[in-house]
Amino acid sequence: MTRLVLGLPSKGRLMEDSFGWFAERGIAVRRSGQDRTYAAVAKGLDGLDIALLSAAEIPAALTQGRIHCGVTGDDLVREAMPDRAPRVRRLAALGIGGADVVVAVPAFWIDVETMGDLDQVAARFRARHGHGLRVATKYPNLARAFFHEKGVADYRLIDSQGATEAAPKNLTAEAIVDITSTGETLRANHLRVLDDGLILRSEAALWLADAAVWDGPARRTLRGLAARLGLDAPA
Amino acid sequence: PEPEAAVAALAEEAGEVLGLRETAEIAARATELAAAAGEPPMDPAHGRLIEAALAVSGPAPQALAELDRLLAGTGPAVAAALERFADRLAALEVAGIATAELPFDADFGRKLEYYDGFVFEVAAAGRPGLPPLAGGGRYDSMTARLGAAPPVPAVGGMIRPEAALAAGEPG
Repeated sequence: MTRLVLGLPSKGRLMEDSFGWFAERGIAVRRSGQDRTYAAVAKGLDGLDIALLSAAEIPAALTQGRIHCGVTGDDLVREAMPDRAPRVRRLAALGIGGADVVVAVPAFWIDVETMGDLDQVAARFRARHGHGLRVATKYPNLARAFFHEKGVADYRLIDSQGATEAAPKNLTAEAIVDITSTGETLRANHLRVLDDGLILRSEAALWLADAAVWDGPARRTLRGLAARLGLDAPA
Repeated sequence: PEPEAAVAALAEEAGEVLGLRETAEIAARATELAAAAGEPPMDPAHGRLIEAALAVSGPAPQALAELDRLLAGTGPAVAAALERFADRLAALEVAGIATAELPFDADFGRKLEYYDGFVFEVAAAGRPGLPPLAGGGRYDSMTARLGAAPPVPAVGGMIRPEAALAAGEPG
């Protein structure tokens, strides 16, 4: 008898907005226990359990079927599942967490407006500086696929989990692939998005995990959830 | 030097100078681009010839004959390239490949610009759902770019093992 497990972000604006989105649709989520625990309960739908996870953990939890459904961004799902057969289905956009994954360079590179320019610059950069042009990102799969698509080959990805936008100033990379919502942080760091540098428009969405245990009770709860959210129940 | 100084000033106005790439590099490249933009356009007849050559598509021997016809008289470099194409088809025949059925597209290019010679791709016939099973080509100039002097000739390719296995199974 499987209860349907819904994974939600455990902190920040996305957590608040997710809770609010479900509340508007008659499912009230409340943290249980102390503030620091990752536990929550839901009222308004029988058979539903809530798991609070960091937004970055949710794609893996979906792929592995540890949760039946989860709220996380397109960016994290597409980065975690680059292959052609994703094991999740996008049920609904939540209308929150909108942001773009983009390629950005120092704004003073006035000779670089497109990926084509970046390609030419990368070629000369190696000759001048003795190593390949470096691109800092926490989205290596998205970055690699985009650069391949645009025909840019002579570069190296630098893993950046922290403030990616500081990498050029810190001399740890020449360009970045990062997520941006208002563009404020990029501008504040004197970076500019390339004209054709939009890799992915991302927003928070509700996903369904094919790999979870979908027995009768779980499917029933899913139908109830879909009805509550105004969605067609997936097969 | 004068125009470059003006470009350098423009660059510094556009954003804080940061990172390894220097203002002088930006100014040099921007000046080159501006000069190139000021050059007169290509002779339209040359443009049409390039487009006609890029449109050549079909079984390899026929494509070669078409290119020989189109590009006759365009000079020794093109003639040498067409010779190499003919030699390659002959070598493939010797290796047991039926070149009469080999598809050729003049506008086929690997996405990655370091390929600067012969390029190829292998696809599973009748399996549009599969990605290309293999691809590759020649990239002699890459070794020079990485510092080899004299340059070392280089060829390479990749195979997608899962796609190749899937192609061997009924679709």
